[in-house]
Amino acid sequence: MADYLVTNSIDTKVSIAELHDVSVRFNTSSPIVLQVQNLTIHSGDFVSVVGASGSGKSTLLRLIAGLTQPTSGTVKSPSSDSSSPAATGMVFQSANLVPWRTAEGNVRLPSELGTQPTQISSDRIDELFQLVGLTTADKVKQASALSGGMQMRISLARALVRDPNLLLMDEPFSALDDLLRMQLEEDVRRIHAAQALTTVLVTHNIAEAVFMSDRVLVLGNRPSTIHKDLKINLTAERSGQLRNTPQFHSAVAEVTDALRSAAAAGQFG
Amino acid sequence: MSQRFYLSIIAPLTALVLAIFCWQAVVWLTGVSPIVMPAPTSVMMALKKEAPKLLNAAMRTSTAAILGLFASTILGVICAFGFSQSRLIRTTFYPFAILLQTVPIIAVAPIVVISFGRGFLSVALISMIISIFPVITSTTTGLLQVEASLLELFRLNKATWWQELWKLRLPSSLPYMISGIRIAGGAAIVGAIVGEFFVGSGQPGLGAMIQKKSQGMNMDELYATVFVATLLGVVFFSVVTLIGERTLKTHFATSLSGSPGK
Repeated sequence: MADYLVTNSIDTKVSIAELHDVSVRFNTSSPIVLQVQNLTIHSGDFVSVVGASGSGKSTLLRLIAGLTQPTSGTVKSPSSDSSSPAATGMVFQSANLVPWRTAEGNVRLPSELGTQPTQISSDRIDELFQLVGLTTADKVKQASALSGGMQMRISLARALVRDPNLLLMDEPFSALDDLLRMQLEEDVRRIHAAQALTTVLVTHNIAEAVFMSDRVLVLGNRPSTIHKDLKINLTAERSGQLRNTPQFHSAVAEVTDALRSAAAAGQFG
Repeated sequence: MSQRFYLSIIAPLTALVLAIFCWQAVVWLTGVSPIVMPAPTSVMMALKKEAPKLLNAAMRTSTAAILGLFASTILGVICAFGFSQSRLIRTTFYPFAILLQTVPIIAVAPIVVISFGRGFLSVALISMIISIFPVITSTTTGLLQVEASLLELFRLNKATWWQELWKLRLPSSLPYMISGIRIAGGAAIVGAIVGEFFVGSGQPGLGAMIQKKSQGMNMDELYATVFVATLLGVVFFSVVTLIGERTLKTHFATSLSGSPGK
């Protein structure tokens, strides 16, 4: 019954971000960095973007974030809509915390910005700290005194503080050790599921992409474009045990093959 | 760590004591006239005798230098704001900022004195002119050297121009600003003394005393004045450094020491 409803609702899903005939060049003489014909990110999806270095993964994310403007084509995303100021949260490659603020001060920062700053209640802050796996005792700690994993958790809480419609993550766990990375992957997936939060993750880690996502976009190289758009048919609930299942391994193999073929196509293209 | 710290105090101090000892020996052995070179002992005597006057003069010089440094900090930071706003502003006005640094203060001082009179104001102004450049350059560098990903975070959250300045550029430029003000601190004292040198009796600080005593016969008193002027410069530099380090420590709390904050 429940399964039936889920499959049926796919067609009626609301689109959160759309790209049409987009191409990006950094200047008029440079080659095309990224070319996307059509891409729709649906509400509640967890989409990962994988690809070789220089395949335009980050550029795609930055387009959606509104930090990069397309040279041609249109990008529709919460960030491109200037009337909704708080619609996108972003986690960067490094934790990217402000060193002169406390953990709490860093989490509050986005809510203080823009033309309509909002006051976040301390209950909400406590809730966020709990959500990302920190204790309320961590609130007063100076950002720079925290470990890499804790900094990343604060970075995540900061991205969530304005209740975004869309969460963007740019290789957020690449600097963390494996165990910590897996723990954070599970935590982020849990947060995504609990809030039906549309999430786009850029990563170079195939297992990470498979574990976290409902959909994986494989970017090809030169010209950089979406080579494959793969659906990950794993259970909605992702626990650590899933990593040991044959279904998971075959999904990883499928994405790996797609990446290989993307690289091969690039060599001849 | 502490051993190295003690060495850093003892070694230069030993060198100083040795140098004074040699100086005393040379004066004794050669019997050189005290008008040419007074002995350290007689400089010490002069220092003691002139102490109240020197203290009074040092206070006046410090007041002018503090005002000069205060003005160059405020004006310098404002200039740096302007510089950080656009490349056009930087390219247009930076050469003039360099002029402030390259122009011989000896040449400018008389002009300032003629324009602003033989008084406190001229001295503070000269002190400002000589000390403003390091504040401008280091603050400008600090305002421009903001981490790109932090800027993107601010842009993503649609931060206003003011929020970007107040919550990002200004606090992240603080270490640069403080190092600029530190250098300016030493320069401000030099500027005040040079100013007083030209203003003369209108503003009887250390500069005026040096000027007066260099024309007299009491070399020991001139040496004593120079000694106090040098000491004042060191004190000024140290105080500004101390305040700066304190500010940075509370600003960044633990990032400097790496230990958990209170």
